[in-house]
Amino acid sequence: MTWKTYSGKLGGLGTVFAWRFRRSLPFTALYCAAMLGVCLWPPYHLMDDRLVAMRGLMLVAAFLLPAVHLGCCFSRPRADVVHALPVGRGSFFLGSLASSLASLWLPVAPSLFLRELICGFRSTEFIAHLAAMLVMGAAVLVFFTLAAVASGTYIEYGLNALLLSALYPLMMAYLFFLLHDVIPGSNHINGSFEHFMRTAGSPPPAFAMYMQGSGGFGFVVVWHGLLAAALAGLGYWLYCRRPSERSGMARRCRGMELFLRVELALTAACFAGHGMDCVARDFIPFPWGVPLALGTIILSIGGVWLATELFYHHGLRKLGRHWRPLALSLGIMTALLGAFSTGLGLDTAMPAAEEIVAASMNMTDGTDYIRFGWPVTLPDVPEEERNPWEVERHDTLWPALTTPEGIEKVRTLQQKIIQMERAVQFPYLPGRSSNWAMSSGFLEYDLVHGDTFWFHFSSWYEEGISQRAKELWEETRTLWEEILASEEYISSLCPLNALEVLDQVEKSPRLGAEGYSYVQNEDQPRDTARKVSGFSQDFRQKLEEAMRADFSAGRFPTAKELLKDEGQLYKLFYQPGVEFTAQGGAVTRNSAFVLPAAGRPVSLAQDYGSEYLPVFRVTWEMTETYALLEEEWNRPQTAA
Amino acid sequence: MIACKQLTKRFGEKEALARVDLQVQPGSVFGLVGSNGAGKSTLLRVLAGIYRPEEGEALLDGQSPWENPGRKARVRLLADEFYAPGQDSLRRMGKTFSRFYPSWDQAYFQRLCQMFPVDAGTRYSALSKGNRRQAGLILSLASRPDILLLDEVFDGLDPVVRKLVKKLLAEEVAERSMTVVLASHNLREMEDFCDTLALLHKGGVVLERELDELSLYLQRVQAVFPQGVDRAALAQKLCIASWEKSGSLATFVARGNREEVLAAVDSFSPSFREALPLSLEEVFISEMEASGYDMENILG
Repeated sequence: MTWKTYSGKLGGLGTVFAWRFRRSLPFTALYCAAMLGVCLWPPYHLMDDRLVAMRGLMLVAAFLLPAVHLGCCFSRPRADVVHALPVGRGSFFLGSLASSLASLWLPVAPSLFLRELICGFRSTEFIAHLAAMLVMGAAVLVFFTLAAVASGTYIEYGLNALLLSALYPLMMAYLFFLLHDVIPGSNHINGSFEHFMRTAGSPPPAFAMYMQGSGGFGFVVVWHGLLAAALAGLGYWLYCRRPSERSGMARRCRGMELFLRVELALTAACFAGHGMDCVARDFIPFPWGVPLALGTIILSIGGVWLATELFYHHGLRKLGRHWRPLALSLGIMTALLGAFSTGLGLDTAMPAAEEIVAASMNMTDGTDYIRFGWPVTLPDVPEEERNPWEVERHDTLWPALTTPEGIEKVRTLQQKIIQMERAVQFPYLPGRSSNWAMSSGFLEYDLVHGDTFWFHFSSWYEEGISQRAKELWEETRTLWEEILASEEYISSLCPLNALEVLDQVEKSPRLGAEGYSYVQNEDQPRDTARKVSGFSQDFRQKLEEAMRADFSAGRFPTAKELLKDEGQLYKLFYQPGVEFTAQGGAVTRNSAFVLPAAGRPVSLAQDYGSEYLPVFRVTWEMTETYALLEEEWNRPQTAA
Repeated sequence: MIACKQLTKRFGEKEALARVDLQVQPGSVFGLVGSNGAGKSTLLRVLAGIYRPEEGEALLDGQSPWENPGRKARVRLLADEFYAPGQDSLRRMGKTFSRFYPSWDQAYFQRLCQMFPVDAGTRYSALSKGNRRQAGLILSLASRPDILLLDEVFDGLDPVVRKLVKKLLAEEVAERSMTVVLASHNLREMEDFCDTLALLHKGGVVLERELDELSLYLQRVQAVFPQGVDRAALAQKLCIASWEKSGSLATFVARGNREEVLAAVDSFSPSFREALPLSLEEVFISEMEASGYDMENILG
């Protein structure tokens, strides 16, 4: 069978492929040389830098290849020649796409192989990168090809490619911001899902930012394979119906115009809605936040409609005839806000009690540092498995509730918070947190398989809300304080939990805001520090009682006092490396698995290999503890 | 045979072709004339299967060329702006086209390359305007099409090449019954070359006649009517395309053969009358004027 008859049997596809591939050979050669060049270029010490450079080159090539192969979309004389050929449009499109793909893929495997050889061949990494570069690269190419088919000039192609690439991630980012603004507790949406969604509809940024080995990577590659196939199908359909007279004429593709106008309007609407919600939080009294946020959303959609009308049609004379972008944008935004207003089940979502290993809570009220974790080591983890320079490799002891009763109390608290949120304003609408949300907090559930469920909320409503909401707020606050004052929770607070290894006490002047951050745990004792062994024999017991009394009464050193320039405070230095038995709380192993800590032997870690010791600062606000320390400090010292 | 039935093509709101009815017989040379924007190039692109008509149909031997590779393999269009990749030579382009056109005649291609004064090894971007047009012609003829669509083909060609092109086209028409559809503003070239002419104006066919018939179909009459005859009176007996009167001397163009027109004029007892056949250019202007083309504004 001769080449001519063989290609004829393929409906001219083979002929087109050979023709287009030969035409793009100079470009392909240049691109291949650049790909191999970045693998060998000496300044790249890190292998990942080479990967970034390779992906960058592939992005540039994927953008240029449609312009090289589908020049007939941008020039009438070219369209005359190409579309007069005895080849179906579908065959021409597929032949050109196949040729582009061949050019794009040609240097990938050799370049990656070279890179792997330089950095020590690891077959799993090679296969993962190869799959990502081939599949995601193909998705990027097809995406740009679609942009080319829907454009009439080179400049329009560049503009469409840029807008299509950038608008979707922007729109999704602001859409998620808006969702989190509107639905209380919605932050528990899985972070990697949100990350995936932000680029799922736009392969170029997804390809630019992909993380090999991150969770769900295989799914991302499969998704891009399916997306590439779907976009190729859409491109084929569009190209077969694309009028040749559009070549060389900008802004003639009504479908692309509609899509971009709607996408621009939705991006602006989500941005405006989120922005107005943020403004309302601080500056607009309840309940004016909701109408202002909704009004801003509608105005932004209308504004984009007018601006894009001027861009696409050079005037507003035919504005009435171009109502579709406005209707679609308003319709989609209404549907989205309608869905958000129900909470989508995100506000009431809660893990089952038996799944929860530990539950904790925090509030941005200036005392949240007390609930931070301290680095520890567990004796059953071999030392050689630890890397003191990597923070993530540390185990952490932190305050949490791990008994079924304690966990149930936190679950009840969550239900109360949602009842209160719904009593304040439901169905949920943007701007709902206009300045009655005085602070925010979160509940955290650590689950058996290492996952974490976060429940973020705004709280402490003060005015403009219904009587029922106020009552629920009181109930919520009471329960919140009850949990904080519970024996189990107080025992888990690190300064109390690690009291067994308290080593030194120092009375020192405050250094003020410039001296240290109040959340800082690290410090070093000075010469004036005294060993605890020099204090009275029952000092630890009395200190524990005093701390319990202060903590259960909600008396913590506040940021305001800690950051003062004048006055004095006590620093309690704890001894690292000495084993003690944890009274409560939870331990996070290697940033992943959480275990109940009560009764478990642990030792505080020398923080990240530094000389600093874990420290707790006591101000006069902890009245009983401070008084005890004053008494002990002023007592004549006994021999250590 | 080429047949257009109620062919309509719109570009947005503008109607480039409006219900065009045409028939072109195989083996004929068909001329398309018309004002700028009349729809000549659009009609050729529809026939080449490049544009898709909104209404009606264009048929080549009973089949639409749109998305019909079988039909398109038998048609070649040489557009007013012929595109070829800048770095390709005529020889390279010949190789490319030979893969697409089953009827490609390599021996004829080589012969044409020798006949035309164009270097087959030179890059296309280095060729002059006239040479590029010749390259397009060579590629079109070597495809041995059944239907050749030419848009302003003589534009940019020197008289010698023009003569050569006409000779080659005539040979192809005579030997293979190739059909040529030629769109041009150059009425002199058309007059020499076409069998049939169609006049397009604002997307519609104003006139379609065989060339021989066309020159006999319109008469310029000069007549002196001592008793004074106005256009309305004369129009009752004659179809008048244009009219001028100065005193008792009336100069007008009337449709019909010479004898019929003079007989009608005689019934108004002129003291003098004579009928002269029109040149093609005069026919064109006269018909355009009759179709509402504002000649006075254009010509001053």
